[in-house]
Amino acid sequence: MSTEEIAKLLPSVMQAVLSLLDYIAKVRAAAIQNKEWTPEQEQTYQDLLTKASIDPAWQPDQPS
Amino acid sequence: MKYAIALTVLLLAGCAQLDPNADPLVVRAEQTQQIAFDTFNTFLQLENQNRELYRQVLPDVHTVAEWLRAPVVQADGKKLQRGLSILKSFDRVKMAYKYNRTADNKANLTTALATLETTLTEVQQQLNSIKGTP
Repeated sequence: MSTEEIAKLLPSVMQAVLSLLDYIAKVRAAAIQNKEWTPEQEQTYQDLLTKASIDPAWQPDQPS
Repeated sequence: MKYAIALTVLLLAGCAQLDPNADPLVVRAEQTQQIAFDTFNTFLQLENQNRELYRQVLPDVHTVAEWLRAPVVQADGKKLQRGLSILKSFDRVKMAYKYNRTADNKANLTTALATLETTLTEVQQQLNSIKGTP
């Protein structure tokens, strides 16, 4: 693989690594909270679901 | 790597003391639904970055991603992505138990938790398979 090819791939690899690190951090945070959610935390979770529903990554393929 | 993550979660969860006022089933349900959302979302974000590539090179990954994205009809008649619908349905079962801790509601939540964990495991496997690709 040439240096140019590696350079082209680098941003997406970096993005994948950063996403993975973010995921691990969230999993860790979820695991260490050993108490029930407050109403505010429940609302934050509901807001996450609502926000995801309009996220482009959550939209299915368009029929061709 | 997945074993490292799982081990870290287990160690951290094991080290932290459960709030004496908390119901272990609710705590586990809420940890699982948060982890499930983060996993689904991370998986779809990564797959979406190279959606065409995964469709051609790793069709199983793309199929699972599209399964999560597929719109399904909710109880209220509105459509929502399947992955989000699963999480919303689970949350309704959890809230039913949280505010009315009957044996029936507990059984429903236990069953829903097992189902969510199965889906989560499947998506985690797909997430692992795309981590090594650009």
